[in-house]
Amino acid sequence: MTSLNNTLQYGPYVLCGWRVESAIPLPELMAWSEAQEWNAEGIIRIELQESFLDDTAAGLCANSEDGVSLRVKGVAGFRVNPGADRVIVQPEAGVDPLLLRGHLFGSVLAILCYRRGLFPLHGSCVLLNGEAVVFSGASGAGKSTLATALARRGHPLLCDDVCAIDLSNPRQPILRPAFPRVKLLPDAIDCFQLGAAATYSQAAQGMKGHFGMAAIQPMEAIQHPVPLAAIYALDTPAGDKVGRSLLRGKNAFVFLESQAHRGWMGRNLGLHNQLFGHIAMLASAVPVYRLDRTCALDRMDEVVCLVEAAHNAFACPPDWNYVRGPRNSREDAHYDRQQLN
Amino acid sequence: MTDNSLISRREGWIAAWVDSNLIMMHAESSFYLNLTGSGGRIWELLESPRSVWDLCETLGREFDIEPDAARPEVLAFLDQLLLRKAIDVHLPVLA
Repeated sequence: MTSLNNTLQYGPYVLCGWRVESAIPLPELMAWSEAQEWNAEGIIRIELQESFLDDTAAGLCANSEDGVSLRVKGVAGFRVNPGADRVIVQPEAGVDPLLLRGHLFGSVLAILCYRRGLFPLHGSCVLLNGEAVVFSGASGAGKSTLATALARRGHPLLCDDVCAIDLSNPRQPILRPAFPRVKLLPDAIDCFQLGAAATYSQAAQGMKGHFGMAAIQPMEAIQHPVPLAAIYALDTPAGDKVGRSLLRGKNAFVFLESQAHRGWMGRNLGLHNQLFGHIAMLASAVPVYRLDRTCALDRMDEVVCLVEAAHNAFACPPDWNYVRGPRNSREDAHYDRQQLN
Repeated sequence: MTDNSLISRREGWIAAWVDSNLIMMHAESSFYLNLTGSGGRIWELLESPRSVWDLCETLGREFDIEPDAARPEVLAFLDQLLLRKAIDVHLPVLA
């Protein structure tokens, strides 16, 4: 067995306001700037270690003296220490690094949020008119696609998959940006023409587990905490209606409860009360809208315009298109003519 | 359950208002209840144990109805809470 290099040689990075030092490269994360001391609330160290989990360990093992362990078969074992400032990773042989990071930025980030008193909402988030707007819903509902469409219009992407929400002020929930990359299926990457900015998982095309992580450029990287303005509940697109309606009381609560990222983990960590309190605060302080939209991709502009108008967000130049980005080349003009024909 | 029965909250429940709904959860089982209207107010009043009649009188004052008129709904609601193991009903103490 080769020994692992456990030097924290990568970073420092910034993730949800935390300074991250790592023994594995995390190219999705933005570099920590020493000028960012405004949010230097904690350091997280990501270390490598061999054989800290035995072969029988599976799933989530909570509240052992060593912290929380999570074993994802075929990928890695992860352990978050009791202080939630150290993550130990035990990669399985030959694991796809992108897949490993996907779990690190998914389940492990959710554990860090729960342990650090944040609420991890399953969704994708963009900055609209200076405020954070989250698109939340079950896997496959189109959260990342809609966030990417808005990002391509010039609205900065704040996070994808785990939206870390700080509810220390119950009246004004705050979104803590993660990193401006989005996880998409290859056909969506092709549609948005993000292929040049994407890294793909090693799983064969067309097989489960094949996805790409795409950077959205050009883009202003937002690292500071942002007030949360709204949450949109997404179902699988259906029908031919585009519109939004407010979910009230119990309906907002039930939706948010269903979209707590790995909510079962939060409960297994014994954090029922924290989770319940956060969901109730969020449902009270932030409007939750049901977003109706059609599955026709060529009507995505209608959805994008509806959301922009609802938040008075027209920061993008008028000649931007959600698929193409800036239209400033002869090639783009040719493309547009083709579309018109 | 009679007018003199003493009602108390059972341990393990947490509750929060969301708009006009009082949402309750039993922490261990993650069982949820959604209380609307005067139901949420009754749960608030049960912060300390009260008799059924005391609840009827208090709600009667707040909603401007006779305590006797409130009694059927209060009893029906308390039955539902008892069924869901959210309250305990204590026998009246004889003077």
